[in-house]
Amino acid sequence: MQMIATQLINAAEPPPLALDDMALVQAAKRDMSAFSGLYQRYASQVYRYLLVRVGNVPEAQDLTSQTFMAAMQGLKSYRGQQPFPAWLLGIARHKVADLYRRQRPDVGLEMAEEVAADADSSLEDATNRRLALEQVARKMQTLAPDRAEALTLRLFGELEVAEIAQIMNRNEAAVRMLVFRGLRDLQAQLNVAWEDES
Amino acid sequence: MTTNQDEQLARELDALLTAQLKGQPTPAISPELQAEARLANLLRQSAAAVEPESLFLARLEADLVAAAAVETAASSRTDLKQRMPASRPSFWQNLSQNIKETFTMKRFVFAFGAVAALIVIAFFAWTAWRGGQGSEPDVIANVPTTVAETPMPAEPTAGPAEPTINPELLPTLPSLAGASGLGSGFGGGAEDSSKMMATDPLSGTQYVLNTTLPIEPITAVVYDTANQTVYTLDDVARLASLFGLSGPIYTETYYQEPGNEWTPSPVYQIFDGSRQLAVGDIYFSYMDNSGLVNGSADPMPFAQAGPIAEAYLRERGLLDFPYQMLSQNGYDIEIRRLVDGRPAIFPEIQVSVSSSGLVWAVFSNPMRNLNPVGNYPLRSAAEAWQFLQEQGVNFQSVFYSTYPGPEFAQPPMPVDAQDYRYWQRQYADGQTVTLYPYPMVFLPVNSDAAPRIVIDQYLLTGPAEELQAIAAYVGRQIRVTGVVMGDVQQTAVYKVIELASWEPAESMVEYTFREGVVSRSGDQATLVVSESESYVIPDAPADLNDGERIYVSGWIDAPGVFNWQGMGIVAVEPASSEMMPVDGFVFQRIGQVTIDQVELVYAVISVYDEATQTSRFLFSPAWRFHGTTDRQEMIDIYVQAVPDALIASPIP
Repeated sequence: MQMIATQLINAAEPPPLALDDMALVQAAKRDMSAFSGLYQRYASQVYRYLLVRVGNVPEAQDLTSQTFMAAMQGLKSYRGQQPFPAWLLGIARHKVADLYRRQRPDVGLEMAEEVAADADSSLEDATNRRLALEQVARKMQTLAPDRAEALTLRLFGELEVAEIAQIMNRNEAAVRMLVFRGLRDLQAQLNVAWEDES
Repeated sequence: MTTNQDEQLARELDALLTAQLKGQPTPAISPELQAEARLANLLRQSAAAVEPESLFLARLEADLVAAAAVETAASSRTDLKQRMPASRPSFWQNLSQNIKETFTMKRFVFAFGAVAALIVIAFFAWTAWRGGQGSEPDVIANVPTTVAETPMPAEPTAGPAEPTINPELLPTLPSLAGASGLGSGFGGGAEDSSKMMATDPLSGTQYVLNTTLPIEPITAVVYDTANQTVYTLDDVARLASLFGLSGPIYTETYYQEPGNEWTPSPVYQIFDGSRQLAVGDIYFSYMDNSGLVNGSADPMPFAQAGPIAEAYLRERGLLDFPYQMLSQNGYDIEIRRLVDGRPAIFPEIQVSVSSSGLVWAVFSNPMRNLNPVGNYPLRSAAEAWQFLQEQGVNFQSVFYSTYPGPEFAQPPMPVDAQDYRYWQRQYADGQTVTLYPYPMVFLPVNSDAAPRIVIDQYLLTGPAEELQAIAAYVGRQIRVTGVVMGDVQQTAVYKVIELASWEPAESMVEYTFREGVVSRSGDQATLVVSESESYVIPDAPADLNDGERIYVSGWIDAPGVFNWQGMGIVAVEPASSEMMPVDGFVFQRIGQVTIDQVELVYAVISVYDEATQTSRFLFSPAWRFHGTTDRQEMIDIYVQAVPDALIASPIP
């Protein structure tokens, strides 16, 4: 713990908020220690996307690590052909596919590992929200894969339709339809009903 | 609904989502979208409130900084090239790979772990998944709970406790939130100010009591495992002897980035043909891969498997405590410790027996040296019942788990799952292959045996000095060429590659993916990714059809050729405006629960001490309300028996 704290102090300073992604990328290409800025900016977004895709924290953490490692290694090949978060989530998406390739297809849910119980039991709300996302993740896995993928990238990856279209090699209309039908399917799965607010 | 209408709604939804994601005023939407819009908003809010664990973020950032430093140093060198440590396995990746190595990446019925807390957690996950609103695809028979005879001496440290002392002198306890095996759910309790009817099945459930509430006990001793010792090398040798294994003891070694001193706790492993033993700090797991059929479990029903498992464990002196034996899935055996005569809701030993009667897996997390923490006053069963009726399931002091009963109907398989096809590339014996693996390396701890090296799905053999040299590249990419030799070590899992040559990968050969459409011409298959990108697929499966949309994973190590290792079908969105059928399972709330048994049990809570960075287990009493749901499922509801005043962070 002490060692990690020291490393954080010595890490690259947080980038000014005004720097856009491309500027950070260029800075990181010159000095890789600047990659931390991109990491700090997108770690949560990537993690949430992966958590919903794989349904458990340990694998989400593992894939988050793999994603950022791969992104740092492949940064030289990034030329701004797509927004950086889209490029990053594209890597994350492939890491998920790789994970599923290494697992038997019919093992997925059975092999699910649970999140580590947080020693700080005051985080009950966070625990409930995490459980909620994991529940959603389980339901996501019953959706058609493309619908689940598009929906996850849109809601949890926070990508634009155009970015998703590029990642999934579909046109924008098809992506909008995937998101719409995915959400409708998820609605049916969760059987959510709403009371009248009046 | 017509295609045009769907398209219109899809555009409206997209506009709404864009506004929500950007924090802008949301446009008006059609009434047909109201429910989806609310759900989308709720999901986003739920996601926004979830952050990665701070320790994980810090560790990853440290890894990235270290990797960046290496990259910077490497890029400034002009003589010997030094590769960047690509994809250094994170702790979880190491763990995952270790587990996969140990369990050969095969289907394994039990959720398991390689660290004490993870063991508890894994069972929690397995139970939670099984209790996940009945979404299991398998029909599972109702199985009886067998309380085994206990001829052995009673639990050595769980003796009768002293009479109650002043509660003010008792240490406060953590809530059940960190306990294993209690199940989970979704959503909040009986009252939800968001006015959303939660997807938690027990939201609004009526509880019916169909039995008498016990009036005892009024106190119970809480125990912990603070004095538990970790396994030593002598223990490893003793356990290996118990299971009849011989051979060197190995531990896995990991790539160490400069400045990163963190290493995981050692897991000692012995490999003996198809059998292997892994011993961690306070757990061990034994596995015989010959008990698998085509990589999957082939289980014997509990009624026959139970006595076999019991005799097996007893012969090895592993059942030296009072216990209860049961199965929750009709096949795999759980041994639960009886503490002061009450079952601990934790599978201290798990056993799998194949249909041929072979005990092919034993996983044990022995709870040795239970230490009394104090004799705590309890809320009565009647008070617990009242608490449940008033508070509902709150996932702090009240949990539940459901599991299929004999009447539970198996839902039909989703259409996509039925159509799913996946291929893993298989090399023929005698074939020369080139791979770009990140080797997993196991070094012997008590002999001069050669390192055990695993590359992807293969064991690597060759001259000892070459293996030693490869071992130095643990976690870094190498290029290996060798001849596939089949499963000559009779592992039942791994083929062997006989090393022909190897070298460090000068630059990372990325394991990558492509998605496209298959174009077949005779035996040749081409993956058409786009107009400007296509690849020959060597050794394409015979049942890969022209026009199918697939994704492939592997390496592009030659122009125009995709050296695939895995391949799967990509589900294609139907052109029809009809929606794909929702899978057969429909999530339902539980309207009524009928309780027919109430008893005091022990929940096992994992407690992590930040200061000492050690884990221990706490045995904390809970009232278990057992019964059935109106969905014909079995249900166990657990209510914390220790009053809130003695809980560290009770629900207000």
